[in-house]
Amino acid sequence: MKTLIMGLETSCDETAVAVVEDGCRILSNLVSSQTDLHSRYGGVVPEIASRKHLEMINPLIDEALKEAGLHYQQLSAFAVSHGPGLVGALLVGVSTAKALSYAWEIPLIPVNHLRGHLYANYLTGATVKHPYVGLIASGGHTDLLYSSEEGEITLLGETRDDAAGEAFDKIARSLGLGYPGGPAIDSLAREGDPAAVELPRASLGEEGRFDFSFSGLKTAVLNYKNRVEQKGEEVNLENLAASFQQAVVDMLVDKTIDAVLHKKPASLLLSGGVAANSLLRQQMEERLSRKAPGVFLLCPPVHLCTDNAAMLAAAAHFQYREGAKAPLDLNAIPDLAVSRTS
Amino acid sequence: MIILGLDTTSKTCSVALLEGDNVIAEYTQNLPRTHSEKLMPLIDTVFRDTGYGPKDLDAVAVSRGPGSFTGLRIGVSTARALTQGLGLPAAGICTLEVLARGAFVGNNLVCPVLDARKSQVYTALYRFNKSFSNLEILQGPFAVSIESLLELLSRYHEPVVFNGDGVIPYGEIFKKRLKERYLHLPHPLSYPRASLVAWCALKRVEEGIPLTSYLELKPLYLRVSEAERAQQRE
Ligand SMILES: [Zn+2]
Repeated sequence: MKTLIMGLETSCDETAVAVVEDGCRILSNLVSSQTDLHSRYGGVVPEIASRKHLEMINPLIDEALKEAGLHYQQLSAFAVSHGPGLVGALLVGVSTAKALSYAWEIPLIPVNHLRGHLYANYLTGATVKHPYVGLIASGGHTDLLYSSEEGEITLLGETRDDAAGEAFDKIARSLGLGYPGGPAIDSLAREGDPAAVELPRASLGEEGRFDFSFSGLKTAVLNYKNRVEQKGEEVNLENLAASFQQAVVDMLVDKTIDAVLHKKPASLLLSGGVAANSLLRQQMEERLSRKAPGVFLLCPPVHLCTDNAAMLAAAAHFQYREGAKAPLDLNAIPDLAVSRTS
Repeated sequence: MIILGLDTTSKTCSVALLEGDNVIAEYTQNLPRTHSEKLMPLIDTVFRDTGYGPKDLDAVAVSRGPGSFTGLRIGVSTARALTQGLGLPAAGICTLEVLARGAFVGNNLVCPVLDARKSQVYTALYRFNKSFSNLEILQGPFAVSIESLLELLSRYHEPVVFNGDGVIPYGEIFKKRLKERYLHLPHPLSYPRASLVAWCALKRVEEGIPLTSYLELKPLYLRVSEAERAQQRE
């Protein structure tokens, strides 16, 4: 029998609904992005995000069913991300999912948003081989993970301050490049020299071997800009963007490859909005083929790297097979750890 | 006509089932658990205890605010999804009207106040015209400072009945300024009851006012987000 799961995603600033068959085939995948609403504030405003989610989610549910060509009675289960994320935003998805699964009498499966990102790789048609090392780099997270077998995911390291995407946003804002910062810096950096400005790469010692830190880099970029401007000179934005991007990519690639050499996995999975960065993809591939040529690299297409609900439905498929079911008092957990499914 | 009423706009979480104007069940909790944890289990309990089911409902009514932004969104999201899933009409009722209904003591002015922080209250001024069902709205609803509210009330010369959680921080001030015109109701008459939420929807139906679809059911915030306020001030 086919498993048809509808996923709901409202953890940050994307309202998303999708229907996925058997954890791997996308029947519909709708994302309503709020980027425009938040761009004038230079970052996501939680209250604005929550209000917009409430407005968007119900019509998206109707549309996702219609696009999948399904009646709700054909659905096997609902999936909702209940953390980590912005609590007010998550609550719109959780409340909606609980009430709708109650009305439709289909089980609800709580999905960890971070785990969801990894399962975006199950939607690409490729087979995910265990064990794997996973890197999730986005506006909200920078995590290195390890999965020994299906459903077993542990945290190897995480960011101690800003997430990688957050660092892109903050630097873009202070360089006057607008929001979101990732694409803006990515395209400007193409015109610049990545070796032009010397910037630090944080090393956190043996204890923080797989942890990340981007705050020192951020300060270094801002100090550099101030120094140049104080001399009355103009900052070469292309060079600065290219050098900054190179530093972020170096840190992500170094730690990830170190984790691969340490854990000797069968595959390496990338995901999250920053995994859409062209330089990161290219350099990760290059380094992996040099240092660990047997390891299989998986990276979803851009629209599955950023927040979406298909990835949640894919993750829920495996939990569904094990009989997972959310209780009626399911709550949003803003700081839900990746090792936990609920 | 069977209506499910919900309220999660303040600290209490209230769920009721109304058949005609008869309350079949009404459960209210005022516990430190979040509304997200309480609401669906309470709805399920109401159905289990009464033998009614979601399929027996004719409509779902919800307090749509003002109140705690997160709290009212839990109620409105739940009501939207229930009515979407069950194919039912929805009714969004102003929390202040629900409170005002609970303050009927005759031919009087009613001023429900909800603590909106930042030295403001969400409020509206109502008058009962001789009967419970004849409630007239005179002012609001709006978010106003205590001073503006007192200024507004100084234009009237009769007693005013207050209820709502705004009485806790500001009751003493109202009393000092309004003296014997100040009448205050105790807590059991000061929280929004789900049975009254459902009753307000029933009244709409009886008066021929159409209920809304889940897509039109919208929260009543009465205030923009902090970020928007800051930008407006600039
Ligand atoms: Zn994400």
